[in-house]
Amino acid sequence: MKNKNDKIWDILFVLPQFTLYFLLTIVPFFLIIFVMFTDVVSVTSNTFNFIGLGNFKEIFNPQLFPKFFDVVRRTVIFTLINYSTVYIFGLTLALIIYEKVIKAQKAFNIIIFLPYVISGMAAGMFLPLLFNSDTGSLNLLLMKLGWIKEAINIKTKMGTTIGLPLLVGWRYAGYNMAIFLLGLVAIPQSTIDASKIDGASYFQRLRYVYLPQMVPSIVLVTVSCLIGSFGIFDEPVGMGGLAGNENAQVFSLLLFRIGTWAQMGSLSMGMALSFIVNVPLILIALYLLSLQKKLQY
Amino acid sequence: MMGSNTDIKNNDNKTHILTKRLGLKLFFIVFAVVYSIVTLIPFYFTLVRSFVPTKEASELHLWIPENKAFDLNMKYGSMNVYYNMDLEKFKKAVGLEDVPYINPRLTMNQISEKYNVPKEKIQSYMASYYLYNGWHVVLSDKRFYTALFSSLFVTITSIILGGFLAAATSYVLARFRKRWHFVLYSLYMMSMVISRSMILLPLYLMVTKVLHLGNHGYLALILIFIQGGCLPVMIFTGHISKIPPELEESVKIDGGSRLVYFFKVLLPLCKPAFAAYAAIHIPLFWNDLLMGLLFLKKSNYTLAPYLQNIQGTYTTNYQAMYAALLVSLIPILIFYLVFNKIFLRAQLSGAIKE
Repeated sequence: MKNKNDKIWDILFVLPQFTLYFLLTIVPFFLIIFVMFTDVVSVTSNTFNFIGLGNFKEIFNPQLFPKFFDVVRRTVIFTLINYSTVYIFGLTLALIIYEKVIKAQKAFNIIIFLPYVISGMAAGMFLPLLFNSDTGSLNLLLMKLGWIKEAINIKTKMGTTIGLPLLVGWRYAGYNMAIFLLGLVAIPQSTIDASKIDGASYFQRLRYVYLPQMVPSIVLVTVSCLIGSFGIFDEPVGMGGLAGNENAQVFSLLLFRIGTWAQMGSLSMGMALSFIVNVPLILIALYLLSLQKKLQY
Repeated sequence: MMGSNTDIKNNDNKTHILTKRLGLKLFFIVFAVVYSIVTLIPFYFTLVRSFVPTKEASELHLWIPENKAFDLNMKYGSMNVYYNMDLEKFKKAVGLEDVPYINPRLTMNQISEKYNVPKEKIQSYMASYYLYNGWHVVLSDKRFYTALFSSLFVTITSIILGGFLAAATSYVLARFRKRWHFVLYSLYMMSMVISRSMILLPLYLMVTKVLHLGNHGYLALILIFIQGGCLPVMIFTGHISKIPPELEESVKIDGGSRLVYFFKVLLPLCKPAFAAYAAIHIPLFWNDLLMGLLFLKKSNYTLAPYLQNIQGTYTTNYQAMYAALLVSLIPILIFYLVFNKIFLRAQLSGAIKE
């Protein structure tokens, strides 16, 4: 009797949120696998037919495929550069705070998280504000100081390819730093002291003592970066992605345009595309997460 | 003899290590300082630029420009572009509303002579317009205030409901007593590899076609926000698993039901977990762009979609654009600075420890 009562209570407490989570995350996730074999054109269509692999054939159609491939390639390059900023910003900041080099820790922490609390769109709008070829404040300043001769145009291909990942890396620096810090504070002080006695340089300490014991943090940061990079939406929109800037078209913007503006393809084709691109990502992420157990000390 | 040799060698080694360590420390300090400056630069320039009229946008401004006396030789036709002026309002302010058409090639001097408008009137109108145009446009835009209140409403509701639901779920899952508890927990962890953009298309389909919430934008948005995921569940289960089970036993012995335990004991104890949850999710909800664009209409946009919408309208009115940008940043910045201490303490106290 007691057990049954308990079970009913358990279900009652869990049900509200899980219903929402089920309907709004799990079902949509598996809905992709269903809808991508149909020919739903948009959310206003009322009928659908099964068309098997028709959507996939359309994606690889020589006319549309280059455009899709461009967007995916752009997103992949973005992901790679963004991943390096995870370490350039996140790890360095974590080490700075860990080694207690800065006295004003609280103020420094506020500054680090400042880009995170503002909206991604606002952050994206910072880039044209600073680097617009005619009116960009930083361009004007650097030219006046004589550091550069010509304005850096952020809306060119090269400008966006380098600028956007730097911006996103800067924005999530605090998040990555926090994950690295969690890993760093878990390292037993004895191993660090032992390495100091053995005369290891800082880089040796970093490579052989710190990083191997931070594997969970590294895996988490990598998975977050991988999944997140294919999902960033706000920052490219701030750079004009929905207002005509072709260089800022990353994958999620393409999906958005397909779904809501009915550009470049039907809704079901968009889902097929989403499936093709996201399944490898998820597999890689799950593989990395499983590696964690093996690599850990 | 041997002793002094090794002594010298040791001293050399020591200075070598010292300079290396000092060099490293210096590198860290320089990095931190440069990073701080680079982070603050965009905010600074956004503030300055919100006062710079389009006419002067291609000059470097390191501080808010002085209120220069307006040059009356400016042509009437170029007022529109250079100062983003609403010419109807201008005509009304200087008393020319009855004049249907003014030759755009006339300078302001000529206009004041032709239509008997005192020069001081034009000057005084332009004096405040010059710097504060952008701010005035934004702060008198009704849609801005709608967006602000929408964001406030959605964020506050979602945080409270979301935290409550996450606590309820985690209360059951935290102890992993049964296998289905573990299955549910793993399902929530799945959201670590599912980003919102991944499922944006089927989510759109689901909300509009299956749940018929296409016309209830706020409801759709709030439900999406409070559904939980890997972070809320991890935060709350991590915290609740540290609460000794004897507490629940003692409530049972005193004759209280699980409901009583939940509301009177568990929820008050979850304050640090709620603080960590709020610290991470308030910026996420306040700044959300994608869900707002998908499910809200222009008339009830939240702040981020509103900002995106005016990106098209104010392409040349830099003052208005950057004023709007700043105004969208200020609420969350104030919130962050005020509550930073509480959130930092909550985060570090292990509410997110796994």
